[in-house]
Amino acid sequence: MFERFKTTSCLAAIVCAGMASSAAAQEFPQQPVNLVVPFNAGGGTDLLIRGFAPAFAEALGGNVYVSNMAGGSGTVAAGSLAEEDPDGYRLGYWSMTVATVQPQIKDVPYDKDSWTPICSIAASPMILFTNAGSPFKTIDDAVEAVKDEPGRYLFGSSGPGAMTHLAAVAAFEGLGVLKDVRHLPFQGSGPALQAMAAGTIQFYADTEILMNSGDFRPLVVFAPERLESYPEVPTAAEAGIEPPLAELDLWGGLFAPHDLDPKIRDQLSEACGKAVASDEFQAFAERTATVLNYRDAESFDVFFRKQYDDNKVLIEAAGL
Amino acid sequence: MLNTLPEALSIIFTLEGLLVLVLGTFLGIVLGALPGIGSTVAVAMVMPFTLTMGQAPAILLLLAIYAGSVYGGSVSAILINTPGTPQSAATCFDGFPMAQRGEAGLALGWATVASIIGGVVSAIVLILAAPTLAAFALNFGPIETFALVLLGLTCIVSVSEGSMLKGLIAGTIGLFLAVVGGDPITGEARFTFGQFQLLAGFDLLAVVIGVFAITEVLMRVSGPLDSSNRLTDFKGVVLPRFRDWSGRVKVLVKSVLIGNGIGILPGTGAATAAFISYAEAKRSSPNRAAFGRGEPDGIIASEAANNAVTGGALVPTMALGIPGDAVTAVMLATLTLHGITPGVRLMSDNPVLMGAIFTGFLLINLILLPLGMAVGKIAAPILRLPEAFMLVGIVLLSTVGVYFVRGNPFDLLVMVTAGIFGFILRRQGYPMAPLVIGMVLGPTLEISLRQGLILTNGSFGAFYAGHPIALVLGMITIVMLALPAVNRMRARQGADS
Amino acid sequence: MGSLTRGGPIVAILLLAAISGLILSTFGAAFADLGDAFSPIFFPRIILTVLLALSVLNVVAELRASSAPRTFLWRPVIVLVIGLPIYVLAVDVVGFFLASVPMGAAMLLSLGIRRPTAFLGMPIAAAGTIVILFNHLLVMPLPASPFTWWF
Repeated sequence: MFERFKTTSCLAAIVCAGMASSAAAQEFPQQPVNLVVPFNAGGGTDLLIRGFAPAFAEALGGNVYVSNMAGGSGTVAAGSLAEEDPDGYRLGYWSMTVATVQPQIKDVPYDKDSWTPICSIAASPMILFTNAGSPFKTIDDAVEAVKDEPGRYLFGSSGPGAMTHLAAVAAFEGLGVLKDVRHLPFQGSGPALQAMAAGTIQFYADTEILMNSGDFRPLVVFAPERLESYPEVPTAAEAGIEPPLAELDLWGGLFAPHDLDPKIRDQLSEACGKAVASDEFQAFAERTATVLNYRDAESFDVFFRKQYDDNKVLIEAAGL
Repeated sequence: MLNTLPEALSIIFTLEGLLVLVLGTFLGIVLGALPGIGSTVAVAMVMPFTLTMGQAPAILLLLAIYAGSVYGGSVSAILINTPGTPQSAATCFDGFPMAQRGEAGLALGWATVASIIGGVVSAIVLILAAPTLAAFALNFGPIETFALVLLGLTCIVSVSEGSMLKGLIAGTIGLFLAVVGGDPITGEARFTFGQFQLLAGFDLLAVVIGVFAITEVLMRVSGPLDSSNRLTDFKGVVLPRFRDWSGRVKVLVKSVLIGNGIGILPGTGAATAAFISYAEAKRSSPNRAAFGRGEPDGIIASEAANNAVTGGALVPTMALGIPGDAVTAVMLATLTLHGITPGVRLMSDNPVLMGAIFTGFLLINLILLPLGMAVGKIAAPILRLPEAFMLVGIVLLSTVGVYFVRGNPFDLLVMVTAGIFGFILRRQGYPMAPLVIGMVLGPTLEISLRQGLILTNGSFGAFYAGHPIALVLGMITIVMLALPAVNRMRARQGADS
Repeated sequence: MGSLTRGGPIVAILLLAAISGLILSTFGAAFADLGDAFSPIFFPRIILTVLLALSVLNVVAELRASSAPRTFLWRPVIVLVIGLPIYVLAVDVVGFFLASVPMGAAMLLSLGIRRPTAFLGMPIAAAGTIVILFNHLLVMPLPASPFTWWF
């Protein structure tokens, strides 16, 4: 009975090995490429990558599918991908927090050297906002009110160590009132926005698309220049936040495990550039108020390593 | 809202509109019935296809998948004791015992009718009262949520009939399992014992499928098994006769209201609604004695409530532009992609589109009936295979389902370990349903408790003092806990005299 | 055969021991003390204390209880308890199809199905259908074998 087993599995192995060797001679990609989103389906990152996947598939000339591996603020997906063979068929979309902040504040099995950066795709400015009905018209009003009544006001976040947390901390720390506001973490942006609408929390920082979903008033934006859509809202630097806190930048890009074949890397990076430039994805980005920022593999590698070191200062300043 | 109806109907009754409704609902049922592919995964899978569609068909397709998958989850819960989604876990409690009795078709019939009524009523409530209800839902802060979840936990008492002590232990183990992983307030690792993978905690669905499906497989093979025997005798959905409804209408109405109400609230969800509704039915139904042994009222309570959540969850989404859960978040994103700004002005700015969406949602719930029957017909021959084959099928499908939750092989180990652990406990008479309830409610219980303590500066007393809604919920909780004891005392007194 | 019929007290005592161990572990770890709401160990300790009390009662109850012996078929249970962990680990290494077929066949053999067309045919058909459906029709692939991504 077990003999029968053995023969079948041997036969299967031989047949498969034959198919594999003939496949290796052909070109990349031989099978669908998997883009891993390190957060739950339905979030901002998930949406961006699901919009990106069709354009990427076309540019690459193969199939592309998206999967979600949520958990540990994105570190579960990154930790799992870091240990895989770099074959180019599995890429992760890591945001700035997953790639550079989490490995420096948590005990995770990856770091700066675990990756072959492929390309950067987006950089969405974070906006600190309050309820439209709130008495704070500007960031100065808010700072004054916080100083008058220390401990009364709360800011929310989508979770400890998330970008929403980091941005609010950077703003209040930069304005010198972090000790006077309290932090209330939620599980995801949805519940936090509900709490904003209900008045449970007074401040929350997130991307423009999420801010637009409710009736909210922007106070300060983390960007080098003012946004076209909100010309009256000051940038972090204008509001008096010093660098490096003012330089908070929510970029995100594709990563493969380290030591990916440079030929495949360049092929992926090129396809990524074509996809970002495609009309289809450009229109998508415009509708979702996403700021696109493509870097090819080489310049993204340099940028990523510099960010990793620069953000050390940010993490310390934010007291994480 | 109603004056835009003619225009709204002209959007739906096109070839594309109807095709989207029928195919979407059908696909939703099939995906929901596969263990592990819950509503969120199903909706996210389909989302990219909607980018090339018109505004109304895009949203209608997502709604069809959503409503279909919630119903589909009950199919596998009843037929193979494997909830396709956590929200149909409560459907297993009575659905599977009915199927074992040879009444699988009828159990599905009850589930179908209850689902449809739950969905239709919630659609009507959505159409008529969304803005008002959404405003009310904002009164639900962390403290009110805490009180509500505590009420949900009383469900553990009502589902652990065999041995109250063992039920409570299983429920508390569930609460503990939910604690493992990163702390929701500070992010620190808890009980991970250096295991990086545990930082994200145990995946809920991996544990649910482990203790229901894998444990069930182990229980079956450990007992004598006739290889010609069938797991369930199922020939298709059998609708309950009209007169069978007598005495059950009250349970239905209550369950729909509970599901709808909880669906509107932020951060609780369909599984909580199903559990609370089940507990309430068990407390008040005239047939309560038969609960857990295949009582249709239990199926009605669970299915009417979890389908009523669908419409409820859309209330804050459509009226405030704020997503209630991951599924509605995908819908809002899709609206944005089609150039519609979700938000407080969504309904007033797009009355025709909203009319079409709401009417479409009503239609989707109505076509669940024929489509559900069709899916039953397709599934029937597969389910007539010998039991040994079915058990292998359950193991393979469970593996597939858990793998798809987040593509993490570690979750498969969690599923198997939970299955073996569940088997050891179930052999000794520990019920598994409380464990799942504890695990579903645990995270919300903890974060709402600690958020509440942050808000009140650490005073638990202030929880009930300044919050009338929480106070009422707290009193209901006490009544729910005290009732069984009071009933027992009354029964004893009655026996004495 | 009869060892598990008095398994009740053993399971109860093992549970108690595990819970006690978990409670002890909460005292070893160093967490910043910022008040209840900010302590990661605040909520787990409440849960574990309740669990400890319940399981002490449970041990007492189990020692006093007597249980009737029930049938217990060892062979298929052992096949599953040993086979399932190996199976799910193998899924990641040799792919879903190549792991599922032996697992399914072993299960069917232990359940007394001896016809090769049945105990090999059914797992091959079932796993094959799943692979075709997910890997190729829905393009949501399951882990593939190291040899070819077709299965």
